[in-house]
Amino acid sequence: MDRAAALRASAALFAAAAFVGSGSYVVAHPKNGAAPLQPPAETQLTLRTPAPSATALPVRTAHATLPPRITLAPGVQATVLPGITFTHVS
Amino acid sequence: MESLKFTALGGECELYGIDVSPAALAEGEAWVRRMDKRLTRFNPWSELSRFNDSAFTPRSEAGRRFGSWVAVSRELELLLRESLRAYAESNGLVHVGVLPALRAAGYTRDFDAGPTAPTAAPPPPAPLPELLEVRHGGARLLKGAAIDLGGIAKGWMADQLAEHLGTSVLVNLAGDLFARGSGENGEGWPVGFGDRTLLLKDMGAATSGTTKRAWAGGHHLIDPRTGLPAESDLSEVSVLASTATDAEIYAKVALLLGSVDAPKWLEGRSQGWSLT
Repeated sequence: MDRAAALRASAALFAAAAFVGSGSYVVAHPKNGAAPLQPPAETQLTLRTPAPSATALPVRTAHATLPPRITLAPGVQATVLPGITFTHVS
Repeated sequence: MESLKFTALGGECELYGIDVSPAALAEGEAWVRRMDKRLTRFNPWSELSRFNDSAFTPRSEAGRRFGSWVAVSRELELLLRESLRAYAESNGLVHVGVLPALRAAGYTRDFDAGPTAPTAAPPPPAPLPELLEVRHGGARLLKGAAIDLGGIAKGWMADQLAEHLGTSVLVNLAGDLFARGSGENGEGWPVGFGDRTLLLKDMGAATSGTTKRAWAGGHHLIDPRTGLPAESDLSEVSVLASTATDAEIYAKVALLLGSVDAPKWLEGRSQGWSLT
């Protein structure tokens, strides 16, 4: 048997051994619902106070409540119609 | 009248047109979305981000003051030229080079993701013409500089789209708008402005303020004189002008100047303003 064939055979043997070995382990270790060391489920909800985050969260400030002071050039016309859109900060 | 609403550019966008087809409005929306992707600073692969990256050159080029010349699209070239014009028009108060200061204040990512912890504020930016150079088809930045087109892009896009869509259209891109033509009743487009409704005809409007995109200890409006979030006795300014771009420029200047100086500065430039 040449060297390459020996390598192929040993690789195949190793793969087969790994397959058989891992299969045997799984079969021998079924999930045991009565096993110890499982953390008990928390029966009572504990409310925690949120801690301040490292970064500040956005604060959407309310618009100022003072009425705006408006100045219009003579040619600009106001209307009682509702606007279809408006200019605003975004 | 046809209309179309969608979300882009960090806000709600609205297109209205008389004798404009739904397909034309849909194409307008597609253009806005394409430009949004190209100009956002929150996507590292956007054209703007790659341009900003060019200001960080290898150590082998340590002796150079500027980053490499970068090929830019026609739209970005026009916007950079508009930014230089805005800087000159505003005596330096509208400065797209405040991005390092904006990042230091904590606005490093999309606003909905929340601000990050502030870092030491950089010194106020150099005059814009000293950190941004534009030539036909290309531009370059001073090393370490970075720009955010912000409202200038919105205003400029509203002007461009209104011009392209038709003769009687209203384009509102996240608050910056241009009303072209006479609207449905022939007297102008009814637009909310401060606490009133105005009939706008061939006129732009924009609002600048510190009430939105604000967080504990900061907000998005950087004063280029200090490199810090602006301290003004005004919280919101809306302005009318002959274009949405100019309205955007004027609104920002007015807010930075404050309630005493803003009216003097706006007089002769703006067709109307609302100060809060």
